[in-house]
Amino acid sequence: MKVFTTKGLIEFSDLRVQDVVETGDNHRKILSQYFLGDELVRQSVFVDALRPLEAEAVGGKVGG
Amino acid sequence: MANSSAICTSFKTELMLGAHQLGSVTIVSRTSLTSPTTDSLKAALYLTTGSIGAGTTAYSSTNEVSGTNYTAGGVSVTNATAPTSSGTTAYWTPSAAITYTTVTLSTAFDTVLLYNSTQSNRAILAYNFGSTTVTAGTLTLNMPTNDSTHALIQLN
Repeated sequence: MKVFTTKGLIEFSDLRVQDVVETGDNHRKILSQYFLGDELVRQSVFVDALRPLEAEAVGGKVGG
Repeated sequence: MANSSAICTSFKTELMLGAHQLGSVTIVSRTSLTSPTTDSLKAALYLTTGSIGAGTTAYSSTNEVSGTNYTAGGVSVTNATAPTSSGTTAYWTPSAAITYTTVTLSTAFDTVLLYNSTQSNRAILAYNFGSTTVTAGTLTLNMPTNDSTHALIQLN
């Protein structure tokens, strides 16, 4: 299987792959890094949104 | 000023004006009373040097990312899930992951802006997921479960 990289299509078996997981306060991110030798030739990123965005009606009321 | 995560304040106002049709249509849709359609949403990416957040009112190309296979304005967002509620919480989440395929975005970016491309590119929300770059790869923004605890937008 060949993988698209900055060097064109490269056999997967010729690449070294590592996943780096980063976690923030509202997300988790996985960086899938593909190296040809020591050179980074592909990086895909997967982001999971962990925290919703909320709009809160504090003491909201209708009318007087 | 940095990018930040927020439901855009203008979106809250526009909800009360009926300016957005997310995932479902109603008889008061603006374009047609007989065959109304949902609005089209898009997602644009912004550099870490941007200032996208609660005060953003509409899509702008200022500080938007650029790179191989990225088109200004971003990509379409699948908008097939109708807003709903549970208890006192109303909620909505895009119905599929947002994906930028085989892009190279070499300058650090950290924020996606969801906006309504049918309604004058009005801003909906900004989400800051931390600085990153993509090299000849795919950026996938996975959406949370669409329920009252996890949904991307929650109105409490």
